[in-house]
Amino acid sequence: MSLDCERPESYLGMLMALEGVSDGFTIIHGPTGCKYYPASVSETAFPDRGGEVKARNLFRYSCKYFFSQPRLPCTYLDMGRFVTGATERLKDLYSRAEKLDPSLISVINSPGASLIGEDLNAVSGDIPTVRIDHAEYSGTCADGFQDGVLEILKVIRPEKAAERKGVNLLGLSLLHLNWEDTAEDLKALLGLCGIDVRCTVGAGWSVKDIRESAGAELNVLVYPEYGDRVASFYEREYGIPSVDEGVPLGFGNLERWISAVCGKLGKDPSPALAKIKEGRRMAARSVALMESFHLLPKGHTFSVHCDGSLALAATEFLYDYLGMVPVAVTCPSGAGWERRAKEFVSSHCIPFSDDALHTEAEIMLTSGTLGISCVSRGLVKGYAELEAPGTKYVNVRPEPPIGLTGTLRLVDSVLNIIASRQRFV
Amino acid sequence: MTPRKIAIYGKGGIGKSTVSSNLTAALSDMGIKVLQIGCDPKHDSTRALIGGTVQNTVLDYLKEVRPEDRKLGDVVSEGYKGCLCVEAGGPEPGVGCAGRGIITAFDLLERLGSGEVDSDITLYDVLGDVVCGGFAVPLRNDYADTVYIVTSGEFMAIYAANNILRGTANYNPDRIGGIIFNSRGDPEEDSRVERFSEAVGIPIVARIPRSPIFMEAEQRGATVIEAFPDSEIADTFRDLAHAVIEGRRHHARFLSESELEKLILGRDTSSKKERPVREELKVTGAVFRPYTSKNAAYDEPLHGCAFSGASSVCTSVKGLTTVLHAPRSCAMLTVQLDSKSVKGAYTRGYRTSESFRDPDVICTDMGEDTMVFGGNALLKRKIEDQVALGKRDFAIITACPPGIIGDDPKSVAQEIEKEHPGVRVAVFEEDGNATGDFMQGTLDAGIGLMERFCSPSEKRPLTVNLVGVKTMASSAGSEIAQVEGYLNELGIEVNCVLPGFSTVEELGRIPAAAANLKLNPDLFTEKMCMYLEDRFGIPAVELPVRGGLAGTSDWIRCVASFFGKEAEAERLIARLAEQYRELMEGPRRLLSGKTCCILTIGNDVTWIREVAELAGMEMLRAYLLKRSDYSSNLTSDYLDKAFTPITEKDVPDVLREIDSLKPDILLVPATVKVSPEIYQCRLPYTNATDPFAGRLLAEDWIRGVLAPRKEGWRDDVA
Repeated sequence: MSLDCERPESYLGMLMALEGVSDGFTIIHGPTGCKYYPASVSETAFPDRGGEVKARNLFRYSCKYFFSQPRLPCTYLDMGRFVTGATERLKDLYSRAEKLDPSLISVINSPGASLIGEDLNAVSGDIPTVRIDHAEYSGTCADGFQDGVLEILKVIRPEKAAERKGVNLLGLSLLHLNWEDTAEDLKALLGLCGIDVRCTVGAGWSVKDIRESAGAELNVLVYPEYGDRVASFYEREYGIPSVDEGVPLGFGNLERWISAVCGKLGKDPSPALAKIKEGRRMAARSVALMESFHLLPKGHTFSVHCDGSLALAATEFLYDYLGMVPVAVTCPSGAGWERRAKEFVSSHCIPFSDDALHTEAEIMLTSGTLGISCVSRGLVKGYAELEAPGTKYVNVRPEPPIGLTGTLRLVDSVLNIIASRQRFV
Repeated sequence: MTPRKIAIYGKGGIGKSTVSSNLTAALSDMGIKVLQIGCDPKHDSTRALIGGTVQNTVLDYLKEVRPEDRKLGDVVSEGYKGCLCVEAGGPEPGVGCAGRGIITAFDLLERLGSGEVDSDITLYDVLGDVVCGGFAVPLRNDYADTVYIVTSGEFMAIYAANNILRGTANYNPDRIGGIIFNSRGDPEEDSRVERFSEAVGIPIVARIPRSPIFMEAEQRGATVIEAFPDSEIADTFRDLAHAVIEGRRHHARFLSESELEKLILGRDTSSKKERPVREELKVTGAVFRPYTSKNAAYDEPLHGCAFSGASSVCTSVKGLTTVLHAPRSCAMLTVQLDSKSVKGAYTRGYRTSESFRDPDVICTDMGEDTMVFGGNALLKRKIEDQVALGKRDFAIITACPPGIIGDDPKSVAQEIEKEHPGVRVAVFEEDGNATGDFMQGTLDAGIGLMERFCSPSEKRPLTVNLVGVKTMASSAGSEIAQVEGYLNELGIEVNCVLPGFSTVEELGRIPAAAANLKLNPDLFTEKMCMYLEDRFGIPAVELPVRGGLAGTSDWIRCVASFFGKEAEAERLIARLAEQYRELMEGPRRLLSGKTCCILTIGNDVTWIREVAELAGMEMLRAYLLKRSDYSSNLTSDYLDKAFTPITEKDVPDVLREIDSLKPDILLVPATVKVSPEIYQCRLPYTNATDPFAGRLLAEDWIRGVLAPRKEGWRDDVA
């Protein structure tokens, strides 16, 4: 049995890299079955692209190619078109895309369409165009995302800058839960130390941002498996160094992350560290309050089902800071980080499973959908949302899953699950 | 010299490899660095250049070596006079996709840095006559700048040459280097090739006579250039090499089939012959009616894919292991529907299929190698892993790639069943959307599961099959429970729910039901019932389950009449009517006299009109939007005649009219741009089965009329 099948993978990762360009427009050369869900993800994750809010609307997009969705139109291939090819339809859709006047058009084959060898060079015009034959079949989401970003960087070459200033955030994608809130949270911390964020590479950047992205002094990785190869590209092509201190989640990780960035730039991390210390006090005050009700998290079990770098940071934090016991770790992406997370658990002589979807625990750290599936069959008592898709439709207040606010949010989730699900025998 | 890329095309067996390898040898003699890439699965293009040895192919290398360990040097051999030789390779005959193999090999070579190889000329030796996009890859602008076509004087060889010109014309047509005439020794062929050359305006750049020295050279594992350097034929190849270096190119013109036949065979096929009148074909025996979805039957754009539809049914069946033969992306796009259904049910307090909470589904995770070499072995291995875990009943569903590369899951299923007695495998060769849309997949799976798992059963007199459940709807489980509750009050039991939502054992006893009850008034449900009647002789109760008081009363009476339970039905309906009246008393007080408009896209909305009327509201306008990309899936009896049909282009005018009428409430399936003072209430996408569903809508309308006409936040929108 495997809900693992529903985890995002390389095709979706690549599509979201293309959709991460705020003034770009992406075309899928493939059947509608390959566009409905990705289009829905794109609309939900990045609804506001600077202009009018474009949500699904039957009355505005109920035409062929779009099928009620404003994002990711497709050439609705059927088997007849797989046999004969559909260049004319692709050309027609491309010309419609041109009329929308985006700064970048991306064209990508669906897995099936990639097998018929259709020549994507058949469409071209004045607008820069990314053409992708296919995402790696059955690859990881993180790799698909990075492949997509690298393809964009081949077409829109960043310009070499005479003077470098600020940092880029790397490894953040539209697929990451509340990615905009995360970017803002990290920007605020870096801002306290006088560090400007130029852009978030791959998520919400514009073509102008792409061109100017080589003007950064440093690239800072957020979810490393989503950005390490892109960081290498910038280092190789532009000599921009990068910092990879894992995911900034948990007070200790966050302090190391900000100190490393400041260290590389010769900045004083004290203002950010003071802010983190405030957070530590807030968390400690809440945990101490729980102690008086015999509701300390210490000794409670948790399982983790998320990308490797996030799993490592979350596991370390819940074990070291809250005294909780990890019982299962599963990571669909980020194999190296997953290994480290498991080594961390093993090093404390804790027996654990590598199948979080079938291991009982009190709390699960995962996406909203997997969390609900596991709660509804009694596998876990509650879940803390670390990944997308989340359960909520909209957040009025920022709810980053990582960073300083994300760390406090995680403590909040864990304490409330323990308090609300506690049984006294 | 400026690096050049040339492609040698021609019909299979015409001598391309011989021409290519001799051309490479001749160029190498002249001190030109050549990289020859053979693009034929039989991988013998470069054999004569490397002493007759067999070369490791790029695609074999891809299978055997991990990505991080791959190096270009491992697939490039040095041959005659320092020329470099690569063989793309390909699958065994009859499996996988050779065209995809070429795409994959080229991708890998590029990734390994073939573009950086120090060569003056890259020469592609390409199989066949451009049968698919894969074989056309070397024709693309990024690859060959010049294309040479090898042909003999045989008609099929010239036919292939003409096709290659046609293929080139689809890309950049001004790239034809010339025709290389490889003679078969037929005295008439010179004139045929010359006529063709003249007609398409492409010169013959080399005439290679038939000669035994080709065979002798091959036996020595060498080219003619190497084995017989002083021969006339060697001189011919040297002349060809000079022509290649000179690099003259011509525009690709091609002939129509009839022009070609007339030119080469002297046969005129351009005028169409009148078809002979045929008698109507007589068919004996039973004829099953077609079980096709609306989109598939009318060749409309396909909404979703049959692969996904079949998965939605199979994964809802308890005790069945669903095997998605697909790349992981296809599995992800379909299995997320299961989780979404669970999430919807959990957050809204509904019930859905229990199986969706942890679906018994595996994916074969097709990768690049299976796309090229075929996925039968992978599929078998994955199922056998599950058999080893004790699983017994399987459904294989194929996505687009297995269909395109020609996998044969039926043979795999037969092998598994033969080797593992007791194991049962249903196969759904949906091939993505080859059979149709999402709805077609649900039909195929619903019917296919019955075909595979049903067994003769003793009739159960007071039972029905509930047919046409929307497996993905998060409320499906709750609706089934409600319908079952009413049936039980009539003394009728549910035998099985279709398609899906059952156990494999329950599927087995489908034929035992006395009747089928349609859960939805749509074409999909009709088709399922058609099948059940054709195959098992189970009649369908005439009216489907519908929402609202009138709809519910109708279907309950209809079922009761079928089973002779009229008295029980009237008692139940009276109770429901009384409940409804009580429920609507409050809404009527608050909504009476209010106005509303409806703009819908074709669902069964009679129950909504019913609640509006019961609440005492005035219906100002009612419109039914016919979408250009989607026709109604409902059986026409349930489209309300009071509605004015409109098309998409009418929408702006209709909205202006609604705006001017200023109704209190507008019922629409999606938000529209009208005055914010009009309260927009969203119409549900699916048909209701609940008699009191309208009450929930009425509560929303009440909230709308109690709320201020305009909210404060609207002034804060930037």
